[in-house]
Amino acid sequence: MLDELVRSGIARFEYVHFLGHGGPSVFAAMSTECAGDQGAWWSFHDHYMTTNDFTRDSAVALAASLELDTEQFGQCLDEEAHLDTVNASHQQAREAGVSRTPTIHVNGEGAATIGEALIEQVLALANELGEG
Amino acid sequence: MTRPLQLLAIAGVLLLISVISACGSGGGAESQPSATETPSSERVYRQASIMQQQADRVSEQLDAEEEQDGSVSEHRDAEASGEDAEVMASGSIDFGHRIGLPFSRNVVGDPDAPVLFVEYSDYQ
Repeated sequence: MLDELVRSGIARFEYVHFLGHGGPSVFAAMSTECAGDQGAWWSFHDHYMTTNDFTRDSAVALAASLELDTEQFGQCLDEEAHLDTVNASHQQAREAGVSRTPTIHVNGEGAATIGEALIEQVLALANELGEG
Repeated sequence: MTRPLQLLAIAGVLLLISVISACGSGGGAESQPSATETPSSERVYRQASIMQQQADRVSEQLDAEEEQDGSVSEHRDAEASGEDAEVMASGSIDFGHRIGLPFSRNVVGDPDAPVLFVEYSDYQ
């Protein structure tokens, strides 16, 4: 549903890290950001949405499978180059009033968790835009 | 580019020398006595020497300009590398269900789209 709205040009989608589970959350978020340095942000994002393996080895293996520069990627991880980035994301989430995940905001308002409420909200917005 | 210019300058000098020499030796009744030919030749050679030095300076200047252009080009290359890094963080997704969509790091979709969904989530 969201993808269709994005593809139609009505909406864009932003993902913000919420670090709710300490180390693994931080590592996965930093890995995604390090991959983002090489254009693979969404590849890592999609991977971490479907796995619970948050080890360095698996991250480097994924980077290698995507033909990223694994040396650069590993260095980025080891130096925690994006620690500030992910902490800033978490802070953004806190300031937006997020306390549980996943949470989606639509145009900065009307917080909704993923589910029927969100779909109804999206459809209402789409209708408003269509009528406008 | 500089070498042909230098060769052209040298050729010009040699041509000038030959023309002046020809005028000096083939003058017939109007030509100067042989005693005065030596100083005239010396003037020609001095003039040729000065022209050669000028040609050398022009050549050196052109070389320096080329070198400077090279450093500017490298600088531009360095800037391009920086731009490449930016390009790497954005572009068009080439896999999965978002294929073809524009993205900029953690944002996907048309930057001018009127609706913005923000998902706050945790991979864990």
